[in-house]
Amino acid sequence: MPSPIVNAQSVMKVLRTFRERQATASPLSAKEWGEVPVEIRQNAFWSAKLEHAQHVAELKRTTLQALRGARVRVGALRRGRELTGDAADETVLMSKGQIISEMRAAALERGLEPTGPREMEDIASAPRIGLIVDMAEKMTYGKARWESGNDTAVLDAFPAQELVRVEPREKPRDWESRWQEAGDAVGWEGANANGRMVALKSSPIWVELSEFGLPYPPFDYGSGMGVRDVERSVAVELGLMADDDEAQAADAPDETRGSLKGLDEPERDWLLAQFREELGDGVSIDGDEVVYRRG
Amino acid sequence: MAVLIVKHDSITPLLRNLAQYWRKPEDFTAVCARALMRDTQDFYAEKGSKFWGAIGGAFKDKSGDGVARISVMGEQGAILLHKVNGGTVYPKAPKKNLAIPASAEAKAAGWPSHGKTPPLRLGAWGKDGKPHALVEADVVRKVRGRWIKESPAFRRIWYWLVKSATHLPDPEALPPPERTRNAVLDVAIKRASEVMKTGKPA
Repeated sequence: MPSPIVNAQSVMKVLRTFRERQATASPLSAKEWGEVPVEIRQNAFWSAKLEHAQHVAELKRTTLQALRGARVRVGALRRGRELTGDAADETVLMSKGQIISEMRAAALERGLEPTGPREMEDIASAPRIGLIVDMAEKMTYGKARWESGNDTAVLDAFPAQELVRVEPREKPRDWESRWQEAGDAVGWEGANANGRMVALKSSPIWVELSEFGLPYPPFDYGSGMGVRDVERSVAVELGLMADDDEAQAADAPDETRGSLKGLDEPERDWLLAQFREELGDGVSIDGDEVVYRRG
Repeated sequence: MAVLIVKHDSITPLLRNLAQYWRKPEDFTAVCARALMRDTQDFYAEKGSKFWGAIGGAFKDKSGDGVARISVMGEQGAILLHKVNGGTVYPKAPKKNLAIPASAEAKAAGWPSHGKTPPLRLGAWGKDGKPHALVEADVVRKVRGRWIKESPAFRRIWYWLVKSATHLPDPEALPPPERTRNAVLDVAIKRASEVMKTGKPA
């Protein structure tokens, strides 16, 4: 195999992306945060109407530990303060459950009051803390996948993506209508208007679709929606891009050859069958080579 | 860092052969990693639960050393490792017991202490001073015209309390190798066919 070259994003870079976000205490509501320029919002770690700087910083720190899959000493957690010896030195995975337990205790200790009557307005409520952790994790993974999905070689093979449900929801939102609205708003540039919710990765529909103005999932709070790579042939079929291969094929040499060395008889037969399925009867085997003849 | 690497490490002769249709071998690996990620995401989405969907959502593709691979990050990676290998879990200090759901309803309600609206009112029930289960608290019933408090022994059990629980390895925690191999081969064949057609490497 060839010498190792990293051309996709590394796990460390994903974590750095999150670590570099600035913990920001602010009186802004989620709606008001939505109006903050995306470049600023994307680089901030915030929670609606949470003005306690230390609490925001602790939320960020524990979430980063969860992203790293870190284990922490029980004695370092609020619920383990009373413990001593081995019990305090025991370690636990910093899971979402741990963060909820820790940040609930922290919110109560700091006397953080709910900012409204709804459960999501109570910074000490489990659903609110869970949502913060979920969103932070998904944003980080979403950005990482989006960046590696735009790698030149990957983009060449998978130039488009499809909006799909990745997690079930009891009351799913109407994403088909939302797709239509977003498509109309961007004049269906690089996006499929009929049927499958497929668009080129470069289409502005992704940013339009997002509650957060970002081209990658999550596109809304707790949406359960994600994206799935779509091959070039499907993107061409849906009319999202021109068939460059057809144009290139016009200038192509009369035949193309590929080596079959290292393959046994059944593997050669299998490969021939696959190529014939894609290219028709113009494919044959000539000694140690597979040959495609045009015309 | 607890990161699980799900490796497609058996680079078959067929995949090695198909790499010739790409200009750079590392580009081929990157595309294979992406195909592997897409299929594994599909596998967890097909399993249908929110839990498996979350594992699929924690994927990151990586193709650093000539091997198509994906990683499952953070907590989800640790959970998946446990599913794959099995193992024994113990209560986290200072808790002394694990609460095992006694019914589908209890399982759906989650773990006993958090996030219930309205909260589940549970109390411990046991023998010889040792708790064995969490049962519905404050259940009353009418006896001869009078409301009396139900004995904990007759209340509905929500969770069994145990000192540890051993999980066997889940053979379906990872997609079958044959499936991932075919998914990667399928993408590679399609792109190689396009290269054959144009005579220009990807």
